[in-house]
Amino acid sequence: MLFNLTEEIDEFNPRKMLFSQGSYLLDEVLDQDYEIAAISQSLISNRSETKTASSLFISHLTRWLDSLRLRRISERFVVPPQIPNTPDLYLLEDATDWIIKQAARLSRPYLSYYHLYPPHAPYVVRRDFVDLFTADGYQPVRKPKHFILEGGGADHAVLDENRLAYNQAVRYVDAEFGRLMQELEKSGQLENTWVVLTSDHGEMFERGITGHLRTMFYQSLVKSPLLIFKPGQTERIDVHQPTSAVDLVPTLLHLAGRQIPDYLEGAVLPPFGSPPAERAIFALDAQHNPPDEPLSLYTAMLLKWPYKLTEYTGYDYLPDGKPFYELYDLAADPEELTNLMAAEPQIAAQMQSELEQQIRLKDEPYR
Amino acid sequence: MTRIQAGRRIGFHFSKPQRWQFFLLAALPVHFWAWIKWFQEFEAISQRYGQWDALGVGGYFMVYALFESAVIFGILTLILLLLPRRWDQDTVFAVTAALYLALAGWFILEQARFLAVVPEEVWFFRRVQHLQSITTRAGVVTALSFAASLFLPPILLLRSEKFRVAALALFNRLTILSVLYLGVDLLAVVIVLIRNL
Repeated sequence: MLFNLTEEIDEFNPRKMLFSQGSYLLDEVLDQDYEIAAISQSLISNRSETKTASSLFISHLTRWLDSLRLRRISERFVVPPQIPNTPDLYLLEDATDWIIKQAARLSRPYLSYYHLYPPHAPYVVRRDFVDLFTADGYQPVRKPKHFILEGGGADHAVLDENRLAYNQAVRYVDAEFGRLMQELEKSGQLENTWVVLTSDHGEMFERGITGHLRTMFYQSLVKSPLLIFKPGQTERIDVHQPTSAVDLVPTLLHLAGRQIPDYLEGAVLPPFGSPPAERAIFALDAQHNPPDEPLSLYTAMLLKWPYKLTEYTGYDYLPDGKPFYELYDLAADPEELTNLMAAEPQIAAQMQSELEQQIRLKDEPYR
Repeated sequence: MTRIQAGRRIGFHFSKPQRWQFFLLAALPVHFWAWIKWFQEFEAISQRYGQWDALGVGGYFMVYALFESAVIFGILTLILLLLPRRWDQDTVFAVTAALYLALAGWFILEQARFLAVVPEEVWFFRRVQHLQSITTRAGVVTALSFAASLFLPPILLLRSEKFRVAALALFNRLTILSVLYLGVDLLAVVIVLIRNL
């Protein structure tokens, strides 16, 4: 969808610009056609294990030079800052420096969106952030393995190891974000700039599962950070109401004094707006559902504080092939250990009905 | 022998027509592979970015292939400077071309093992990979094939006038293909220029 919108955007900078390869040819000579030139360069010299290079001979030299560069940069990192399955190096420091430069040069008013890779796996972390959490005494709640794993999955030691690496990576990202904010403050830009920090998803290290590729909605996956810095803000305001990523666009439109189109879901976030207290938040993961067909293979979630209902439908692993439901009271059971479907039948039925209604509504155009 | 005398003895270089032919031969495998790679990537890039951009990628591929051909030609010319001047031009041309094309063939095979569209049984290299469960045999087969491809043709070229004449005729025909590639390169340069205006 983002690529379909690039014509609407005044400046679209492909992520390859920030890869630690630095090319005068791309940046200065071929900048008018940067994206395609960068893609071509990658294909010309790409020598990762799964791809070929269009350059028959010189690609071997470039690969060797890449490995030297990687070795040099990797000395500062526990895990090499490499995008998985590619030879591309990505340094968060370079991205931070670039954003600082952009913030100074862009003509106002502007809205700029930066989607940064860390702390995504492989949890790249600079050596100065290693071992920050090893002696912190944190004991994660041990949860039983998820039934979809059918006895397999990662054991606690592996989960703990990955969680530690992830926490270190988050700390590294946090430090770089701090550096960005300090630079914006120093240059006076924070006086008239809103800054929003959020994430597209969390990461699981529980129930035998690591990462975020499973079609689930546990809190560790869906509860991602959202921080909004108002110009000149000096006091912290904590918002405890449930919010959703779909709230961001209406909120930004509201802050910019623009009309909010009717078709937008989401509400203006507190304290800038007052969404209803009994608000329903929905989420749907239908990545495996056949495209342009009615929903038959999906995971759906309804959150009406403090209850969260999750529905799993159409998956091979479901017992008896029927939809499976999980209902949790997030206030009393934040770790989602006790499924209340049997214990709270009235609440379950009510939420099931509301969730089905929402799914039928979204399915309308495909029926 | 003084250095100047030694210098006069080495410093082999082709005549102008043969130099051009040599460049065309150097360009041949480089462009051949670049075209294969472009055909492989065209559909995916077309779907994501559109046909003009897919053509643009092809343009960059060919311009780079032209650059790479020039670099390879330059390196080969420098290597040839170490040979005695008085050596027969046709013989040097034939032997160098045979060695270069054999080596280029191995470079292509080395990359081509990743091409999913090529059936495994067609490629010798893949057959060798199948044999890697018995490493020694795979290693011997590869080494023998490599040695044969590099040593046999030059030996035949040096020993047999007939073989040399036939090889030169073949290389001459191959250079015609290269001329076509270079024609497309000019178009590629135009595409790249238009895209960067």
